[in-house]
Amino acid sequence: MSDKAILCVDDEAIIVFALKQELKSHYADRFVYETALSAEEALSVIGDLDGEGLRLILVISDWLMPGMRGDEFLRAVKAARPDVQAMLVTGQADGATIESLLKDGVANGVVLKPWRSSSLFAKIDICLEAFT
Amino acid sequence: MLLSIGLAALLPYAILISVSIVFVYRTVSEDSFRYAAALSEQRATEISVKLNSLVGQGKSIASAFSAYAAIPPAERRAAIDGELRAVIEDQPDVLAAWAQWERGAIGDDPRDYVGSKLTTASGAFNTTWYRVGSDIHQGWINDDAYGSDFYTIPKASRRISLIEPYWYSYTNDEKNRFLETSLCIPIVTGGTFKGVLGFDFSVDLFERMVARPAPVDPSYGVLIAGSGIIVGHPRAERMGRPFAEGELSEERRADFLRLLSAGTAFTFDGRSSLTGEDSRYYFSPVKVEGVEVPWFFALVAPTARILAPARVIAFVLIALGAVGAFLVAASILLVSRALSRPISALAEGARRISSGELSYRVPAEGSRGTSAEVNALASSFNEMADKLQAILSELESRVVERTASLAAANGELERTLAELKTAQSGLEFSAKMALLGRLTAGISHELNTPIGVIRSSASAILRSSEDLERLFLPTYAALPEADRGLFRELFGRGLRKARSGPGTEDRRRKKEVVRRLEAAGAEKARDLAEAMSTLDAFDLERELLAFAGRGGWGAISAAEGAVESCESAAAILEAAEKAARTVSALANYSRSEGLDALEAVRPAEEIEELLTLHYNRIKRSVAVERDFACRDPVRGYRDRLVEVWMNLIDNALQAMDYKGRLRVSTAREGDWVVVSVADSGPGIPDDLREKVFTPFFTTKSPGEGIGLGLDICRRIVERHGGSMSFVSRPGETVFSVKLRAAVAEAGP
Repeated sequence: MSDKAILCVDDEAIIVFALKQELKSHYADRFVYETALSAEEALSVIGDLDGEGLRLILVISDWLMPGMRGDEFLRAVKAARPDVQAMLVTGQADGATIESLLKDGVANGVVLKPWRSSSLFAKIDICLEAFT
Repeated sequence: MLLSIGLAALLPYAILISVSIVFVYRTVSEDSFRYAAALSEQRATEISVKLNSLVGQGKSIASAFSAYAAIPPAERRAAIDGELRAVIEDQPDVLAAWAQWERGAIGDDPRDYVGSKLTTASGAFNTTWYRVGSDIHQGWINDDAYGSDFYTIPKASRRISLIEPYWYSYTNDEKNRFLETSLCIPIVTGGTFKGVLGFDFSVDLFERMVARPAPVDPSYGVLIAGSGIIVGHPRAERMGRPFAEGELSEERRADFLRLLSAGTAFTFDGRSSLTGEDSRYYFSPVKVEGVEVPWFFALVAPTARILAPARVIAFVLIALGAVGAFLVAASILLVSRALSRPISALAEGARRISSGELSYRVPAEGSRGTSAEVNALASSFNEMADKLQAILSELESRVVERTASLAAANGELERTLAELKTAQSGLEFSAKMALLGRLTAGISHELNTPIGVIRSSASAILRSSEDLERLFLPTYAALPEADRGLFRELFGRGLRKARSGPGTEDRRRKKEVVRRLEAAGAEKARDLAEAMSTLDAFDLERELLAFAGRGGWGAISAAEGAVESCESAAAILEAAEKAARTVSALANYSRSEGLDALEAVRPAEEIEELLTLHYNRIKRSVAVERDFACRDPVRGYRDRLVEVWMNLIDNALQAMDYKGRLRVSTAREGDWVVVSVADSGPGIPDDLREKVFTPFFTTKSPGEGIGLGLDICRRIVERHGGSMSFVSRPGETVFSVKLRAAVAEAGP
């Protein structure tokens, strides 16, 4: 069983569920898949993962969430764990914002809603190259 | 106008003049009449004075005679004779002076003298001296004279009497016949009648008195004796004739005689027999001592002559009045013409100027005919016209100027307006585009999320369907009969859990299981815990561990896959629901009337159901308080009201970042059911309160909502006849919906 974990964060349960199912069906046992319904929950999950001896390698986060927004959350994650790859899932963010997020290195990739499985996996694969 | 004023002024003048003329005429004529009367009276007085002096003389002679007793009887006849002779010699007016004695009165016996000279047949001494022309004669009175009036009247009355005029001739011939009158004086001595002394006068004496120059020619005087006989008249043939005869009509004679006998002054009008003119007769009594019936002096004056002075004065006055009136009228005419001509000119000027002929000026009159004031008026008028023209031309130029500047300003305004319109339409367009952009962004987010889920879950189902075919059935078929029960149990549990949709993972429980299994040295502890979570089988830890140990992993994975497919389907369902809700919200927004039926809806129950079904996931971070004090129904459209409650709850949760306290309450206020949703968020900033119900207003970032929630709520509530309000302060914001409570029988 893998000790590498991928964390999906979205305020909508069906989205994190769908993402997790998709990742699971594609990557199968290569990773442990964790979910959180808000940035705050996600940060606590990240803490838990360390305790469980799992290594977080990728965070896939929604951008617009109640409370801490996706980009803020990713900034926080990057600040604490620079090695963790970050991907932003958004149905809205405009090109300029995405550009600046990518340029600043807050996000390593951006997936637009509604995503296609192929492009999602392609982008995740690019992120995962850092660990292979 | 001026003329009528002039005539109006003239009229009182004429009235004044007429009144004055009448007054003066009357006064003057009355004066004339009075003067004539006074004159008549004066003449009468003169005549009476003259007569009275005669009477006085007679009386003194008579009294002298009464003293004859002192004379010796032989000398008495001679003395009396001498006295009488002296009278006739001294008084030329006296025609005869006589004395007639009672028998024996002078102390002698008449019989002694019978046959003697100058005695009667009986010898009585009745001597008389008379005048014939310039000669004086002596004669005697016959005895028969004792029975005549001359003697009997004074004897009976013992008073002086003036005998009515009579014709008499001393020489007993027609030639020396006189109309005369006699003054008869009784001689009384010691109370005894002795005889009568008499003086005869020719009425010529009176005629002379009467014939004095009359004050008014051709007036004349007439002396009338008490019997109405004329004793003085300018015409000789009238002498001795009754006055009334020829002078008065038959019917007036009686009146006349009555007036005469009254003995006081009187007048009457008639036609003079002498002059033939209408005359006024002024009768004044001539009072003579001893005369019982007074004589009258009549002044006969032609009325025209009496009134002449009055008429002259009246004529002069009329003439003066006429001249005055003419002068007044003429001056009025002149003045009115002098005034009206320039005034007409002024009026014409005013008319012309008012009709627009501003250059017209009143022609100068010069000094001729017009007064200085009128000239001044005309020049003032012209000055005014000058100023008017100047003002008008200035106004015109100003109007032109202003019109030009207005036109310029107008053009400027039109250009500005056009620019503004362009700018506005641009702004409106950009505002619309911005709104559309926002709306589109919101909608796309709201729809993209479920679409992403649907796509992802559908893919997952497709993929796992291969596994189902490849793994599930062969694995199940390969299971020993003993394990098929456990498998069915796990599969059933997983499906039941999956059908309720994706829930939160029980990470803590999973972690415990992992730790326990790892401590026990179990393989794939994490996978096992994951399977237990997926299949809702934490209570079957031991059985699963055993099952996995005897090669059940394939079956567990197959069950997980099937359940996950089912979960995916449930996720698809929920995503589709979410998309449908978004679309429905938009559709409802544009739809004005609900097609649903009105029904009795109980907000408390509806909200409770909502909280249970849709808000399970918030339970951990939000304390939800329910205070359904009122469970009464309202009449409304169930689905629309559900939208309201969901919007309010969503807003409340969003406002407090899904952390804090949500309080939902219902209460009854009279006829109203009030539903309140309160959050413990930071409150709505003051500057945003007014915009809360504005369509497309949102504090949410793009993607969090489309800003129609509260506007939709307000519309729905208002369509139900209710109202919406809110109070907000840091720490608590309460949105309240007031709906009319349904009547009791409307409830289910």
